[in-house]
Amino acid sequence: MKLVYYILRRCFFLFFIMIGVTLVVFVVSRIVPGDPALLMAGEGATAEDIKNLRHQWGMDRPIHIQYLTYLKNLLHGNLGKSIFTARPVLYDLKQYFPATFELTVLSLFLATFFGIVSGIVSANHKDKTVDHANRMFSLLGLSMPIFWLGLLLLLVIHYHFGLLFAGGRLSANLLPPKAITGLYTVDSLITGNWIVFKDSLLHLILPSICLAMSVVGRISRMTRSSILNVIHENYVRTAKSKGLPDRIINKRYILRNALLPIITLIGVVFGRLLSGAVITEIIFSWPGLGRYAVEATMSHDFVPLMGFSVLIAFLYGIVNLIVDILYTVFDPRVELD
Amino acid sequence: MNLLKKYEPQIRELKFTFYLIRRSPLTLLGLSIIIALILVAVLASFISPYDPNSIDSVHRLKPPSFRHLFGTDTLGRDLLSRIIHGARISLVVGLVIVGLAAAVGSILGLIAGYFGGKMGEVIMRITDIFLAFPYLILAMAVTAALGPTLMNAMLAMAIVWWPMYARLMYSEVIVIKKMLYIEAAKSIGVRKGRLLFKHILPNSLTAVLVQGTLDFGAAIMYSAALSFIGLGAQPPTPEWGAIISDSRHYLMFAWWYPTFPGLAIFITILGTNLLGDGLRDVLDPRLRRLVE
Repeated sequence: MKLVYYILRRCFFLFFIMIGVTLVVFVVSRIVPGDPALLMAGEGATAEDIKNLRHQWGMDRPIHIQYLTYLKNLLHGNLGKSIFTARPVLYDLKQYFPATFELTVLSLFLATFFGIVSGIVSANHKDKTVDHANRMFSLLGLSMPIFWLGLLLLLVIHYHFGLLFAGGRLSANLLPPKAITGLYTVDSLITGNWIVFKDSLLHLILPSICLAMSVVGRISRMTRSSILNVIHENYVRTAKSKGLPDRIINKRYILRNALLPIITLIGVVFGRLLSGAVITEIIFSWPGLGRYAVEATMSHDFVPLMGFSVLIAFLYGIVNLIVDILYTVFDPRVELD
Repeated sequence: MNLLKKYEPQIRELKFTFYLIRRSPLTLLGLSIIIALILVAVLASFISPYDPNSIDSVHRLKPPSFRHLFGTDTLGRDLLSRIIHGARISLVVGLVIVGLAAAVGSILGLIAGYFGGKMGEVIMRITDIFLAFPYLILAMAVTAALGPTLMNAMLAMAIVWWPMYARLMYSEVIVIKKMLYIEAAKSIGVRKGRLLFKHILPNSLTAVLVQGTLDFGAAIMYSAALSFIGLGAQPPTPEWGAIISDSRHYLMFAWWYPTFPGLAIFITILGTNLLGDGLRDVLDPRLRRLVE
């Protein structure tokens, strides 16, 4: 019951954060220099045309009314239309979302898996060569700008060794699988299309490694220090003194408690992955949300960028909510307030 | 002489700090990298072999050689010279972003933490909203709105980053304001302004200093990322991210083109990470006295 109350409270809180997020995005979109109506009308438009456009888009109304209209539309799932392509932004976001989702989730999985494993190995061999090598590797990974790493991967693995692909989700001679989830790897598996599955998986490798590398060091470091903290806890000593086998102590006493902070870290890491995905998508010509937003921005088309920002903030909020709930579920010592 | 006497404890602490830094080779390495960066930035005009913007159409995209140690770019400009001048830009970028964000964030965090109440609540809820965006996404939107220049990218990063410092300061201040020495200062009638800036602020600055050192590299990385996307420094500015962005189309024939500017960013961030980690251990009062 307490948990339900906690979740409700957090959802309520998230709602207000989202209101704030839309306010920030709205204010940002209003500080754009230049008149969007002028931009929309294009060259050779008369003053009358521009005035009509302003009226049609509600830009001649008071600013707080404009914001409320924007909120109302948002609640109805209307994120506006792109100024240039005239396509509804929501439609575009839906089209591009699966590509970003596929990339981010695979990277999160890779980073979490390798981060935790290397962290455990490091902690087990504290101050040995493996530990030093792993910590060095983590530090190097943390210090590497993602756009540089991406280009280096392309340079060495694709251009030098001729392996894998330089970009895109699928080779040009293949048709995408029937859209069920929108994730090429999953859809091709469901429809049993092995050629497409293999091809899309091979396309995914470089971008997801690039993205995962930017966070794996953080997870590894955190796992290591967390385990080293827990090892000295009294309950571990008690378990040892009563003669429990090491296997059980490691698994149930040390790992279970040491991995708790990692759950929280995943929320933070997810935000970094979303930022990193924008850059990764540009390097690997990955047709996802980030590339869509950047391309729109380059043509001074603000509506897609606003929709994108609100969507990303929402996703980030939801993931952190889930992370916090999981944390309280896994750690009964946490007191809900 | 009197002055020396007066500040003797502080000087002794400072000496001890340097002693601790000297004992840790990695921290020393980080410090050396940052000092090297500052030297390169200050002496850029003297040590760069060529003018960073002089175009030489005969020697375009030449691989590294004795003439051009890091090779040349598409316009035949010397990459080494461009990277050296880029150090100047990166140094300013890092200082401005972290300086602005830390100053604004710390003051707001100090106010929110000390006075609490409605004002504190409002300030902290605003930080929540800003922290609801992943850094780069909000910075992208703000830079795009202000117009893609390096100046605006820096401003955008500062706007995105101050809430981190507000949070940090807030959590420090709510602990410190309950300390006995604050209670003592209050009871002998120290005024509020003095209490805030002479007693609470200096004692909470350590955390800000460590975070600022770590963020210095991150700020350079994020603004380089904005330039890479095309939202920051514009050509022909020799900004590291912008140079790498230029190099994308010549990846196949010019490996040196993205490699060296990226290496410069990488080493800088490595330096601030090493120094920041080291400072955290050195300045932590719980670990500090363990070596004695």
